[in-house]
Amino acid sequence: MPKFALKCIQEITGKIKFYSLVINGISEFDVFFNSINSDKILRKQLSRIQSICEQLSDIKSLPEEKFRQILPIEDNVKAYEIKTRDLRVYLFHLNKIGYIIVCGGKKNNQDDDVRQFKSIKKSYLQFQSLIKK
Amino acid sequence: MYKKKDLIKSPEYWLENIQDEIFRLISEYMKKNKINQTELAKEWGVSKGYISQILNGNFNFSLLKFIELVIAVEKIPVIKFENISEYLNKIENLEQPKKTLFIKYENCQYTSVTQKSKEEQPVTLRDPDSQYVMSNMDNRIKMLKELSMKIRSSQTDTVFISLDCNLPETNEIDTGNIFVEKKRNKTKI
Repeated sequence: MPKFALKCIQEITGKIKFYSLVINGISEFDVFFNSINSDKILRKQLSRIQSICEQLSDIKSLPEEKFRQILPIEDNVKAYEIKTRDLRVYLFHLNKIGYIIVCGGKKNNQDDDVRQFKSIKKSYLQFQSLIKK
Repeated sequence: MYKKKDLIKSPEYWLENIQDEIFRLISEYMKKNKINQTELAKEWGVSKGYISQILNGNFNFSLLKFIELVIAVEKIPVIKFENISEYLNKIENLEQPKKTLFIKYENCQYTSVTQKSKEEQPVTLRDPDSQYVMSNMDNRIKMLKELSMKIRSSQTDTVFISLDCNLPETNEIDTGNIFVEKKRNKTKI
């Protein structure tokens, strides 16, 4: 089983904390962010994603077009998707901890990305329950 | 994620913030008036597509349209511009853990200062934030001025003074977060 850790995202400073999920020392979200940041056209949408994260952290409502729940709810933990025109960011919410960003991807690859997201989320929750035991 | 100093120079960041504010403005108006998108489009004499675009958080029309929309929901637009460096300073101060300063005077003389924040245990500080002997009324005013300046410029957000003599009543000092404790009664001055 991979080793998981949560890295607090210091740039989001609202009421609800944001973390990126680190798997075996690597944050998938950081990899995604850095790769998009080197794309002159798509990088503009990263600022939008960060704005959405800030608003979520401040408990502000958002249009479903930009932030929606991924259904059905699995493992009793709510999963969400942040949407911009071409990008998607996948995250889930843990009570008393905050939002955990797992990974991101491009719109045209969303089916595979959602599958990968769900599988990572499931193994993280298993990892967490093992630690608790 | 981007550092705040870089993020705030991105037009897309502000566009996202404003579009989502407009979404919340219209959503609240619809909720308050118990109307749906179709009824709102009819009330305003606009297309359903226009309302739908706004509620998707994609308002990007002219400045005039923006003003018309705000007035239509019985509000007025108040636009504020801030200097980038001042804005960053303000954000930085907000992110710093706030501290409370306790200053104790006995027999009109300074005796101790302790500083406390949520994360820290109280710490006794070396000296005096004020060297003035408090038996002199002018010195009391000087001390208050010093404290109010300190509150504005430092991480301290509240000061409690324990003092066994009277403090002057004055309007020349902003004493917003200075509290004086005297004979176990806490009085805001």
